Amino acid sequence: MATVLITGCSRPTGFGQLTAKAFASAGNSVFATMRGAERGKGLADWARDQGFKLTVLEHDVNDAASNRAVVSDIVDRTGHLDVLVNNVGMSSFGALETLHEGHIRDTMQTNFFSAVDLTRTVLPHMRRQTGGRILFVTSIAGVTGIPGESIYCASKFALEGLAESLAFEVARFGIQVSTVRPAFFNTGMSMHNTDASGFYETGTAYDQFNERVVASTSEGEVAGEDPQIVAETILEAATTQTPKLRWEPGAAAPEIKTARAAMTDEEWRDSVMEELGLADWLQPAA
Amino acid sequence: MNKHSLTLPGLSADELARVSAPLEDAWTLPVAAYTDQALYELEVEQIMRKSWLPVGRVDQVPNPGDYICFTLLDQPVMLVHGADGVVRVMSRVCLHRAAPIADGTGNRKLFSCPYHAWSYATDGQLIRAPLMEGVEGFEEKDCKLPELRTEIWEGFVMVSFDDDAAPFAPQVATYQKTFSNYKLDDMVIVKTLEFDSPWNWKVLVENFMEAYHHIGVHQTTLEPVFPAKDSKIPDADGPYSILHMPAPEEHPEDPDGLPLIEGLEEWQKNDLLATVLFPHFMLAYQGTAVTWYQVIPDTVDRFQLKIHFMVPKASAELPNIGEIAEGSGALLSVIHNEDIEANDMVWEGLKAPLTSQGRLSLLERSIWQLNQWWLAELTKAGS
Repeated sequence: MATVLITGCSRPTGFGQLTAKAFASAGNSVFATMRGAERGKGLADWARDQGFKLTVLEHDVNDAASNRAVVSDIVDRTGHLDVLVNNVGMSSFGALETLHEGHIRDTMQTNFFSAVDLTRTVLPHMRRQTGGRILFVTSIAGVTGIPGESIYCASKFALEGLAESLAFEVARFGIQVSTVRPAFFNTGMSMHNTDASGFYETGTAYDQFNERVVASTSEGEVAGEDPQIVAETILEAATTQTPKLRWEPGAAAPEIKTARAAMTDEEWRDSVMEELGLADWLQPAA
Repeated sequence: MNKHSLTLPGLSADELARVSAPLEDAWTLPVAAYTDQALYELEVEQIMRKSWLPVGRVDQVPNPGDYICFTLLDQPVMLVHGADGVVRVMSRVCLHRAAPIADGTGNRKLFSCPYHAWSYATDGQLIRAPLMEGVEGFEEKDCKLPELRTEIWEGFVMVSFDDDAAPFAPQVATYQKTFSNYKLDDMVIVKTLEFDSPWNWKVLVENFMEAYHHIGVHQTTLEPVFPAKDSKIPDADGPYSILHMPAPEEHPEDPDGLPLIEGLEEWQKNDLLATVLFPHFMLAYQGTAVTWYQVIPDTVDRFQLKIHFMVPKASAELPNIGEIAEGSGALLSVIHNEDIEANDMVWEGLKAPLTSQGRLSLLERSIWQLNQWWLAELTKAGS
């Protein structure tokens, strides 16, 4: 069975922890990592009670030394690292002009550069063992732009481009690369970030816009699909005999992708703004 | 003492007779030898504290002031390369109010106790004890950290708690000659793996010293290269055992990227040798490297294991040694994880009420050799 590293496993309803449980239940040796490993106690207890092989490790993906330490620890302990799930991510809302500079950089660091570094750390091991799977949890925000999510989309588009390019480079070494692109799932991620006002300046020309974006994201999430679907898709993407580059879990993501492809850019823009209750934002200010 | 009158607490004469029988008639150690607290305490007194135990390598403390802390049989100690060039193993418990003066690893000119700032030199001599003026008859120069008896053997720092223990090297002179081509004292550790091991120490040592289990536990990893049925265990004239695992003629090219150790015989280049210097100093020899399995006993049912991958100094200077060491470490970890599963199974079985001694295979002569030594040491006069 495979040795699997999954990042960002701290929250019980998040993709990371659900994915960790899915891999462990299938008999794999799972290393579920997070900042503040004490938050993984429930997960570790669950695995022990079930008799599954799952270890919670302290891990800050934004710290290169931590990435090296975690990967080396796993390889020392098991001799393998077969699957990397780059799951860590943070949300970001707010019109570009209003976003704090620090928040923009934090988002790109956490959602993109951390995965770059961790992937580069894992590659020599996978190359040596002539095989491995690297997965990136991206988003439908890596497929289409979303109003008020310019930086989030930038980070997920970046991952999509990275993954597609990387796949060309490492196929020779038996390494498969995939992205998994969820749309709306009820993970509590944006509720977790309810202090979205900390992301952007208020008292700007965008106040009404930003409020609507935050509200519609939370609404979309609460009405979203079961995140367990994503966990099972990631497990399938990592273990299938017929791997593929892109996975769109659930019902909404493929629908959105199809709808987007069938429309002109302008038709798509209008329909998205309509959907989010922001149609009037397309009209010039009085 | 007649073999048939051997006695040990908790073990019957019949059980001991089965252990001491000739190999063809011999059985494994009784279950209590692995699980019984009183017997473990006897082992500590009669075996651990009277034998020579490897605690480090001089190449782990290459510079004056380098130190490594650990705890050996309840005694907090440190391996220190003194400013005078001498490598010592000494207590790291302060002579004042018993606080440990150092922890972990590093390099120091002085060891300052964090409690009351008493400072010791790298040879253990107390240099300064602040605010002790007026204490009758107290002088720093009279205070020195107790040192354990050490012997440097082939680059290993051996220690003994027993002032009367016979020197180590002469006991293993034949062994040392057999492996002199590998030039152990010219080697350096390039990778260390650590495993918390929740079994009696002998569970691992026995697993290490026979190749019979290659057909089960390692059937896809070691068995194709070093088949169980070809393994040989020669006679030994001292407290050690040698398991010789010849490689078949079609030995696959060594994938680890290391050059062969210079000056080896043909069989030494190809074959794998797993040796145990009793009680638990385990060395595995390959054509390119030697791996030291270091046991640090905790309790009857737990020890810490460090697996040190060692190569000649010249190999350690290769530009890609980091990557090579990672790869070799990964391979060692794969094999050890297979052994962990086996040892977990054995340990579960040893705790079961219906478990008793089992018959030894002729391929397990090494276990029989260890058992004879173990019995002799435990029943020595004075116990």
